Amino acid sequence: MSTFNAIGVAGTGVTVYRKWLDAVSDNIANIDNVTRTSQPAFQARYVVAQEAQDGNGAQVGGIAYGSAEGRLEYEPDNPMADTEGYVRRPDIDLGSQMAQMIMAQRAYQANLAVVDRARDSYTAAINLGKG
Amino acid sequence: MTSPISAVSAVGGVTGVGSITPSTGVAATSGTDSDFAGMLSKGLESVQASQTNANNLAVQVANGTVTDPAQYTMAATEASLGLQLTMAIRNKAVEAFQEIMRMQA
Amino acid sequence: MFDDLSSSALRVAVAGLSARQTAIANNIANIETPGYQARKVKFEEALSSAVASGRAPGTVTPSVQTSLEPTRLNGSNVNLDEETLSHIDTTMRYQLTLRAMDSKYGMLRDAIKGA
Repeated sequence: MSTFNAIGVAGTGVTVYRKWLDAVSDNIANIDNVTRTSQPAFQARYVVAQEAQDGNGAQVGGIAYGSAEGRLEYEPDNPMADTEGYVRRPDIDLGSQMAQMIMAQRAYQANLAVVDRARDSYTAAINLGKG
Repeated sequence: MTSPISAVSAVGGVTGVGSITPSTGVAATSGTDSDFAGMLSKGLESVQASQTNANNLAVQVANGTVTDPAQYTMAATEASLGLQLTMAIRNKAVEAFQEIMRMQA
Repeated sequence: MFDDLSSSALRVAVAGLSARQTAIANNIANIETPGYQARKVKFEEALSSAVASGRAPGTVTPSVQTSLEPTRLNGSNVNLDEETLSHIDTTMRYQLTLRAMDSKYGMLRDAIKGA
């Protein structure tokens, strides 16, 4: 997409924020994931965003994982509870995940707006000197 | 009382006409810029160059490597207008020439 | 008369971009179809190498390949963001290519009229 460079660059942003949204929705879906104390808790996913290697836009550098220890909750009635009545729950805060979702969505929309405006500018360039 | 007419004095001999010095050539008009054929041929060269430029950029448009679409559209517009301008100048010159030829008839 | 390098290259581009538009429409229509593999149309590299090595661009035909994107949960591997942006890019490049052909036809027309 090198002819319309601004659109290509905004496209990389769109990809990064889409992956962020996917990670956040993954975290929220698993927020009530209960595991035994002998196993690791569900680890929150964090997308590491960095500048693209070729200098055009952004890329996902990798996925970072949150704590595997999670929180120990005392739930003796839970079928997965250990001998002392504890289970592991993921160490994910719903409020913070919702805030991240809003930020990811705003960033996604901002990049789409760039695509829109760039498209108008390039269309003017294509129609230059016609007629 | 009229005085008697005095004798007519003899007419002096005709002195030879001095030889004509050969004229130095007329100084040529400075360079080809100011003469019309030269101007027209320079115009055609630049039209040719701008068409070649536009064609090269068109190949880049085709394989998607043009750095900015405006580069191509500007080059295409300049080539097209350059051609139209050169043709308009030539047509006006031809009209003027035909006008003059008509006057001579 | 219409066989010069830039006209042939532009003609290949028109065919390639048009094929790409169809492929994108197919991909977006099949975004929820299990087992569907997204189709990608390629012609730019083949065209560049033909021009660089002096071969006639007219020999280049657009090729349809399947995308290497990972399959998503619903069994289809269509990436909607990529297809949307590719669609915008393809549409505008198509306009630019047609503008280029129009410009060449226009200059020839001017030469005919002005003679």
